[in-house]
Amino acid sequence: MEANGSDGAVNALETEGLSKEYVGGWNKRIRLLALDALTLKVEQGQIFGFLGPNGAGKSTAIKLLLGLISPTAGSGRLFGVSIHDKQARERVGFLPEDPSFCTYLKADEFLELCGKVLHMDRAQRKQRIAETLEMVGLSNKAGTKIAEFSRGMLQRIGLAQALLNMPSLVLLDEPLNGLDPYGRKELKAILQAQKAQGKTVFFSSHILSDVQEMCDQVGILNRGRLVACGRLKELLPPKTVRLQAQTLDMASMSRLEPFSASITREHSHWTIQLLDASKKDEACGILRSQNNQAIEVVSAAESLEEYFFRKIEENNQERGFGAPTEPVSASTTQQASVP
Amino acid sequence: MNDMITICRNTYTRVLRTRSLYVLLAAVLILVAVAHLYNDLTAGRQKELMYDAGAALLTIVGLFTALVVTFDIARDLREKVVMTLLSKPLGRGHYLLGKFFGVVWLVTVNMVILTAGILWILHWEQGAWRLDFVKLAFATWGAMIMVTALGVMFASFLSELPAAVLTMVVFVAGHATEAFYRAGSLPGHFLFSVLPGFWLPDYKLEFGNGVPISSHIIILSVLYTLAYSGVLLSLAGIFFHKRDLA
Amino acid sequence: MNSKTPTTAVVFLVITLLASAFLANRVAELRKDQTVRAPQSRGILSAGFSKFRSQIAWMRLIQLRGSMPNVTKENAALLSSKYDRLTDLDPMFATAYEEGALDIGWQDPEGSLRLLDKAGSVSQLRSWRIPFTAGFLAKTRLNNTSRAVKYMEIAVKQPDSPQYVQRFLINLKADLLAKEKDPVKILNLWVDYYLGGEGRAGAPGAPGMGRMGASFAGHAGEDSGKKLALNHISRLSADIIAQDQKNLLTERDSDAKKRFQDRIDEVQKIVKQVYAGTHICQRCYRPYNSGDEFCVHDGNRVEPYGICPKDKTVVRGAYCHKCGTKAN
Repeated sequence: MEANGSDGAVNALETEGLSKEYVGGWNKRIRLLALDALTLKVEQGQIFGFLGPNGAGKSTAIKLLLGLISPTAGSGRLFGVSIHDKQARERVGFLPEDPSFCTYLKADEFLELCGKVLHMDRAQRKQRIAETLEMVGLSNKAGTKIAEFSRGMLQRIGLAQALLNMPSLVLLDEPLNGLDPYGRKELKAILQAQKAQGKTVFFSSHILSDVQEMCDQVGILNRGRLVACGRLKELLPPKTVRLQAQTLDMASMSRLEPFSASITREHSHWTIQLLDASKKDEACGILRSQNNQAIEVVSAAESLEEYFFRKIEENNQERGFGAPTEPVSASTTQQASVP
Repeated sequence: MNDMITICRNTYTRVLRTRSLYVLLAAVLILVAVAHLYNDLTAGRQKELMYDAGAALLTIVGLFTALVVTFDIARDLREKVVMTLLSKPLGRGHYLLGKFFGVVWLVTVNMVILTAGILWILHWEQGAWRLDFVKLAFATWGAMIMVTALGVMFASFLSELPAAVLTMVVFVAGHATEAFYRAGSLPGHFLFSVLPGFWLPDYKLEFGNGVPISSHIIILSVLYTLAYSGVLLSLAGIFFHKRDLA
Repeated sequence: MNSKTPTTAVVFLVITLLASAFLANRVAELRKDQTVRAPQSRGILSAGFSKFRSQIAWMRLIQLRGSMPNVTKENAALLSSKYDRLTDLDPMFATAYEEGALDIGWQDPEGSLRLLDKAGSVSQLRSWRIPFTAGFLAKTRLNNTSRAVKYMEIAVKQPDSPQYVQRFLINLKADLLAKEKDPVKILNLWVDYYLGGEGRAGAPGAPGMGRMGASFAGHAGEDSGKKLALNHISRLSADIIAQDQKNLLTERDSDAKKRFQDRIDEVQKIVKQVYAGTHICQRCYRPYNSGDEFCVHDGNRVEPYGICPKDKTVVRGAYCHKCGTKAN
């Protein structure tokens, strides 16, 4: 396994063949493959978006990384330290999905408890509690019991505890859930600030537009398998232009070929996929010279959402599944079982 | 160690904020005191009733307090406090021990308050300090430590209700392991040695009837409860270590 | 989280298991001698609350008993089972044994003795009242004197048993000896009691016995107990001597005559021992007062004493209160 990133620094997070299968029933016949051989590397200083439909295994992967559940197979490392070691969690902050925390404590008392568990000294705790509460916009709620918090405020206090010890890696499970548009905007700003400080942010989310806006890298998980992973720039190609015309003679075709990616005949019309959008006017001129009555110009840039659905559907078709949210059961599907 | 103390203090603080606890303590003391009015109902045995009620209610309060641990751990899991804390550099063993000691601390405080209260009530009724009640309370305290450890063990792999019910069932059944000891056979002796013997630190019948019990046997009984609590906590540690906190 | 079992926990488990097994055996061994366990205890599954449960059961039993106008053969069985259950919960519930035995004793004397026998099997229960009650019931309800004697012998050995328990026992033994037709043995029983007992003043009365028990045991304090014993000694001595003197007159066999004379001598020796320094009537063997010329009990002429030789006044002390002369 490659421990270092491209620049030689230790990867913030890496997994190799990390799998989790839940086994149930009295004779252990009920098996549920939640994560299937996840191999992933996240370099330091990146914001990584972990995407997937419900039940895809995103939370399972995060819990495996934090040692909250045990892997059936594979390994994982945080900053080069095995996820089985307690020390691996020293530089990590975590926000669970839909948390409620210690409802009997006040916000500052809860952060005080977290600070103690993080082995922060008294002065450090005092300073960081004030800073994080300020950061998440809960300074005026420091003395309020968590039981009285709204869902959005719970997400904020959760984020505060995750950032309390200024971790090098922040793992957030659905952090945008329950936040209003202002909250989401603030969260995005906080995460961007973390990145600016050289911290790594790894988060799962359903809100693809936010992910596209914030992330450097994404990973798409479907039914326990990673179906796509990489930098957004690489996964989503730049804007392309397609032209459609009713007629196309050989001469025009040869004139168009140098700046076309493809020229295909589809039913009653021709489709010309341009290599460069700037050649659109020139190509249109060639087509008009043939007295084409209607030249349709289709300008398209695939969004993350489109990419996400395409990859999920492709993967489902490849694996012979129907609805994307249907859980994978190894007892019924051989394909999904761990070898 | 500091991690354990942090969890211990947090557990203690959490339960201390439960108002029903104070109501329970006050209710028990009142119940013991009103036995004074039971002269006719008991045909003149109200003093004995007061002592026995004190001993029984002390155990009941101890049991309720000890059972808090099963609900507390389950609540931590439900509210994802466990996930939050264990995602930090906190060992699972430290977490469990912190919970255990937090509840033991509370059990101790409750039992000290109740013992002092009952002693005072008995003195008021009988005109003499029944110091044998302190010995009885000490042995009961030992049993409650064992109940707490039992609660921690069950809560380490079960949800709150089954854990609490099983803790109670084992507490009751643990009073019957005397039968294994009496059986005298090798399997019986083995079962008696490995199963929790809650009858061993139980001296309510003896103290209630004024049978003198030496301090030596009381101390040994409490030492037994501490040793067996160690067994239960070790098992809890092993189970919790293997548990998926999903 | 690690799927491997933590070694520290396993090591700690083994150490604590061994320690707890050792301590469990040690405590169980020590408990054998010090704690209360009835042979057939149903309170074992009461989770340590059997004592408190017994108090609740006691209160309920009192309510039940209050609702019954009297104990009949039918409800005696119910009461018997209730008392049995109650004493299973608390094998040392002395009051339940005593009150229960007396409660059902009239209708079900065997049942009540079973209850009291159960109490007897609890080694820590050292109450004289329980065997006393058993003896009382065995005598009065079953007319089984030898059984009653056994119970009473246990009762007199218990700490704090009052003197009347011993007198009850002597009466019972006397009943048995009466069949042997040896009144001297009976006399000796009373003499032993009179001379042996240092007196245990202040002992409580027999519980729930009423007049019947009191009269049977000779319910009285220490002084009256001694008086009672003296009465027995005097009466028995007089009866034995009178009978043997009569026999001496009628008997022709010299060996038999010797036996009667020996017995008279033996009884007179006993009487002298008991009444040392006291003037007694030679017919009824009861003491008489200074100045008396006839016995107030049987009218027999007695030798007066305590009379001033000068003015024949019955003196109150060693000297005459009228003339100061030393009295006879």
